[in-house]
Amino acid sequence: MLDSLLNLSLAALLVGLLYAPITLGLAISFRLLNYPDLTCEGSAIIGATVCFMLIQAGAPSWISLLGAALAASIAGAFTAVAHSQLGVPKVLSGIVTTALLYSITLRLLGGKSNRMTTRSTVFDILNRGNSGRMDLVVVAGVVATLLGVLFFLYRSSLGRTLRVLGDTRWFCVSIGRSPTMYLILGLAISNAVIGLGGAMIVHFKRAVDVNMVFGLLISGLAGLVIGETIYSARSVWVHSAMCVVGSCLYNAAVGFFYFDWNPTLTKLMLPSDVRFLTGLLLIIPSVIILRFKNRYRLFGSDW
Amino acid sequence: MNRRLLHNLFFAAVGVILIALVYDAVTRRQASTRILIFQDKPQEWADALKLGFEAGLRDSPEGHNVTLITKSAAADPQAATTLAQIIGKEHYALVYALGTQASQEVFRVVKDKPVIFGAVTDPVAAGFYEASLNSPKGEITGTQDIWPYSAQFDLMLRLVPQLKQLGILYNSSEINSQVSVGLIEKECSKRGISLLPRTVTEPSQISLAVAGLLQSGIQAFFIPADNTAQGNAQVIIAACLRAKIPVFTGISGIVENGALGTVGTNYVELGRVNARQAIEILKGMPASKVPVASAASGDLYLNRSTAEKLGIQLPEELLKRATNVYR
Amino acid sequence: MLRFASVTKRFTLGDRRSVLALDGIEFSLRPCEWVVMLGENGSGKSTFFRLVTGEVLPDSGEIWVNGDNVSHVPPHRRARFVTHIHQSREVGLPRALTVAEVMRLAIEAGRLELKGGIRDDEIAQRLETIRKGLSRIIREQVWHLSGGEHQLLSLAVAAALADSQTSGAHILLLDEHVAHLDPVSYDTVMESTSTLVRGKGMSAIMATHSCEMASSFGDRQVLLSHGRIVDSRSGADRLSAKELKDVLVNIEGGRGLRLDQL
Repeated sequence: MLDSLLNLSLAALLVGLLYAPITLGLAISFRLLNYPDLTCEGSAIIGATVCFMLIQAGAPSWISLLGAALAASIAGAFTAVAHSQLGVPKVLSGIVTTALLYSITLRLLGGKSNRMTTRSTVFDILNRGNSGRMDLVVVAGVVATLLGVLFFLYRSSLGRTLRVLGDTRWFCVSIGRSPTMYLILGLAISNAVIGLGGAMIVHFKRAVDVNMVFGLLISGLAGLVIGETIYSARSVWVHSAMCVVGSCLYNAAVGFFYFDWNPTLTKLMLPSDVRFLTGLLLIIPSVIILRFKNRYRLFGSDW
Repeated sequence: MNRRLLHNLFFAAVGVILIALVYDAVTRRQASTRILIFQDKPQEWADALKLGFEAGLRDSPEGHNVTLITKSAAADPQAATTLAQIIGKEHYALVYALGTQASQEVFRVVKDKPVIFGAVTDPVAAGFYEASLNSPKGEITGTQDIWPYSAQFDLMLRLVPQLKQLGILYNSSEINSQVSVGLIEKECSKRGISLLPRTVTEPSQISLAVAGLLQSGIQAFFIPADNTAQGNAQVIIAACLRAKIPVFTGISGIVENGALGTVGTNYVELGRVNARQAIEILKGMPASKVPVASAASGDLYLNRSTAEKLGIQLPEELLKRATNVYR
Repeated sequence: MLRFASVTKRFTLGDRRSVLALDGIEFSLRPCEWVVMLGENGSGKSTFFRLVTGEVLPDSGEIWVNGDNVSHVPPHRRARFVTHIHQSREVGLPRALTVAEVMRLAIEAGRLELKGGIRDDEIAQRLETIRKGLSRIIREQVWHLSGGEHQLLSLAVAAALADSQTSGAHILLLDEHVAHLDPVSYDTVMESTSTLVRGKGMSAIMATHSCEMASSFGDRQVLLSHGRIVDSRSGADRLSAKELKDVLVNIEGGRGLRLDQL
């Protein structure tokens, strides 16, 4: 039983770190900017696609990751422009961009929804062959680097302006910064991070599939909120760290019910009932926190 | 309702479930041979595969002692990744994955157990084989959901006995099309029918290509496993109907939209084939030596109004045998 | 300092009705002058302010600041020379930030270089200048501040923004900023407001519908009614609270918006 738990923890850690950039990107748009940015699945898939194409073209791993981030940042900028210049409502703007990106992605992939690569990926740097043991180190390294970059972002004038923009738009104007421009920058950055996440998934799976981003927004938000529920951070850096933790916990909750339970009991449940149990498990932290603590609210957003 | 009461009830419920599960895990015995079935999303054909697999195992003497455990990622790709990771470290005699995506997830992670894939159209493109189906990249085998072309041709000759030239259209840049067309060509030469192929690279070229084929005097048209041709089936069907030429294909949906008929893949049958492969492996043969298989028979679909428009009489026994007859 | 030249603004409501918010306004604000703008609800005070900040653009006429035509300059660029202090906390300072963070942003606003960051003592000192003892709020989040503390902080922010601008000339817009405060806070905030405006020699326009305020503060009284400046009195000509009330009642007649038919 104990090694099953260890199994689960390692799996949750690996997959949680892999999807952590998604959660971090959503934290920037949903919390820092207080903007319900639904571009998530679109920017993840365009990042993944561009990364895939760069890998196929033989580019070194770090270029494929950066290229993905760049492509995804354009998607984010587009959403911001659609909202601020074209007047598309916030929620709809992300949906529009995602819809457009879906078709663009399929075109780039040459009409096939699923393509594989045999070239080396970032996970091959430490692995000789496919041992998979070093995967965790690679992913942890990437996430740590990302957190480092975000650390400098949040300290900078840009980061603080983004936070103000999300909190009270008027004040952003008051200190002489253009809210439109900072919204574009902010969504570009948040989606760049998400695009990076999509690229990491491609490196891990050595394939790109348009269906792999299905449900990404929901699981990303789940990770975000779980991280916040477990501990109400008082600074933006701790909050980011909690996002990563939340992503791992969410995956642990999902994987918890894939345990090697006795088949007689599992005959009572359909395999797809795991989602139900996951849902129950996710309510627990909220209930506990509700009983014991007053939550400190770090950001000006209400949801 | 009192909030405290609600909280306590909630914790009690969760507690009961968790205790039951833990008790279970602690008291379980190392069961007999265990096979894990990996499903990434609930789909009709995947369920059919499972059914066939279970039936196939049950019906054979070696399959009696086998425990089947199914784990489903419930349409969440992230969960599928986590699940694959977990499976990789657990103990099973073999892992049976349903569909291309699920098989790819599993094969990527599971290296120490044999893997059987169910209903993957092109195992080479999916990354399980090097260049051909003779060089597997590991302990892997499985079934392809290739269309039962032999049965298709039987149907075609039954309904169009005068068939001497078969027209076919596909997109030259699609890899899976070439597999499909190759198999059709083999079938044609076996039966003494000449195949007249036309290739396109873009949907806009389709009308012209079809017109050209109709000019050359084909008696029937076949839409192969090609995304471009299937995606623009309406254009092909409309042109052929005007020339009173029947269209055949492998997808029941296209028959519903105007093709004359098809013999589609029967996934339950495919599951049984997988079961046979599983038994071979359990008896000791390494998975890499088990050849990839496909189903022999299929489901029959016919379109009545198309038949009327073409002036073809649909035989009673076919109508009786058909899984579905569209109007 | 600030000049309105024949500024007109009309708002269109639904179903073909419209409101003439400001009608050919001619207005001048001299440097270091404190104008109190008195008018009933709907007289055009808010519109006037929004025209200065750039939130709203004039239909006709021009707005000049220090010799530059700023009629069509976007709001974030006007922040160089104007600060708007609101009455409502919804549109006030960022809610989840701490006082220290807000002050830091305000102090940095105009400056392009950050010489090693701004130390806490500078922030505390600024807060003390506005009101003794105000530095106690320095670690609080803005949404935990009381009404009075919030407005005092707004004053500190305005002072910091004015200081950080190189041009030096700054207009302070006080949009009924004490309207919702209790009497004690009212006194505190108005005292600090006076100190700030006089001490820094800022030009200020204070909107109010309180005749008391209009008679107690400022250098000049401007009466606004139905989008027009009805009267402007400075120095010794200024009216007492009672006189102002009589004037208002006479002008208004009825209350509320008067709609022009198209």
